[in-house]
Amino acid sequence: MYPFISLGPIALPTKAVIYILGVWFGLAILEKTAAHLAQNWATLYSLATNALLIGLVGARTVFVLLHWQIYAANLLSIFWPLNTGYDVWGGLITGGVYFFFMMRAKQLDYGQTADVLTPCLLILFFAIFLADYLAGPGYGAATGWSNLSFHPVQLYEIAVILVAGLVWWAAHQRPLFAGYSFLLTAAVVAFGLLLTTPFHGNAWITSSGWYLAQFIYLFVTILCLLTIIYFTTKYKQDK
Amino acid sequence: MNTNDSSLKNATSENSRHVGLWWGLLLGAAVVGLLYIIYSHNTAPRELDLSQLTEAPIVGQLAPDFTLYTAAGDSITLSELRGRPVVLNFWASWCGPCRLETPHFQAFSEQYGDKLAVIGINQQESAATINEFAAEFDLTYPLLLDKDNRINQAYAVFGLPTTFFIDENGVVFDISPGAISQAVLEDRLAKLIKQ
Repeated sequence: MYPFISLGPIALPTKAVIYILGVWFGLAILEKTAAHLAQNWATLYSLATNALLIGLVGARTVFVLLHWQIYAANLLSIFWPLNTGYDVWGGLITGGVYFFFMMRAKQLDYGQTADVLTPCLLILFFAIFLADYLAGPGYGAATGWSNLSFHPVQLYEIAVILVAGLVWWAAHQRPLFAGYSFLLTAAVVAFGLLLTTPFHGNAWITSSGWYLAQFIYLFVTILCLLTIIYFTTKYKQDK
Repeated sequence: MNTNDSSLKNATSENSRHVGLWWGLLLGAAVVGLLYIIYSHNTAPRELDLSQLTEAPIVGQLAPDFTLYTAAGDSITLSELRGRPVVLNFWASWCGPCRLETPHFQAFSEQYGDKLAVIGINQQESAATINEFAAEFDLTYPLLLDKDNRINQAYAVFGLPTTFFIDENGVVFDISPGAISQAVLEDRLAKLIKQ
């Protein structure tokens, strides 16, 4: 919608500004959550910062690999311009893989670390959806309503994140086991995104008319809930 | 039954209730999720009523209409290009990044032919300068003059280059401020033409 934020004579790219604010706020929350949950905030902060940087490089690398035929003809274009040409999922996976292996190397508890990371991840998703709404590509599906032409799908996604934030808040107050608030929040986010997918004007759709992302989100929802059941049963038996 | 037996029985009962609740939640999510997926599959995408949209240089609205002229005097009206996607590139000959990306627009104009309209809108330069630029890059797609900067302003162009991707209905699909690489251009065009 609005690719620039205009401050007098200065025009700032909206997307970049929101991403930077999201990262800054997300890391600040991570630090606070880690201290609140009695985890080593310095280690987690450092890991998360590195994961973000590696994710950024990963997002660019995946985009370059996906369009390698073009980049191979002009290798300099890999490094410039850098204002566009990133694969969000490539970045998330690269950053996530780095974080996972470093977590193992530093012998951090998976469940507790995931609990600490959850609010930070929610803020990053919030920033991604907000940036997409204000300056991003594509728009929601046509509504057919007289007062609203397109579904503001990114606002629906932001609502999902806000609900997930409330769920995390409630879950982390009474955790059943380490990782509980992460799994429950992830289930809520995945189920919420399952509901919002058809409102995307440019969602991936199979030739037979199925939204592929919905199946992935349903799988993630079920997987998270099954894991909660497994650990709840185990925790109660141990107790 | 002693106290320990009683508390153990209570704990077991509470445990079963908790786990039962989670199973219920899982089952509910799976059923609702599957039903919703089936409902989404059966719901055909709605037709877009263009009369509900307004002209504005923002994603999801109608691209502001214009009629401009090439250096040779041929006129082009944006609304007459409905039915095929349009790439609108705002540029100037003095703009370094514009020079960098111009060959990509020419390449895609040739590659897509009639399936895509590539249009360059110059910012306040003379017909002679535009002709020199076209000759320098062997451009065949139309370059339009905007001497009074009216259309640049209508599209709220803050800096050059800026590229608008407009779908076949005349709706702004994406806006890309700054230089655009060939790969990014291909990526956007693939999404624009696929949708």
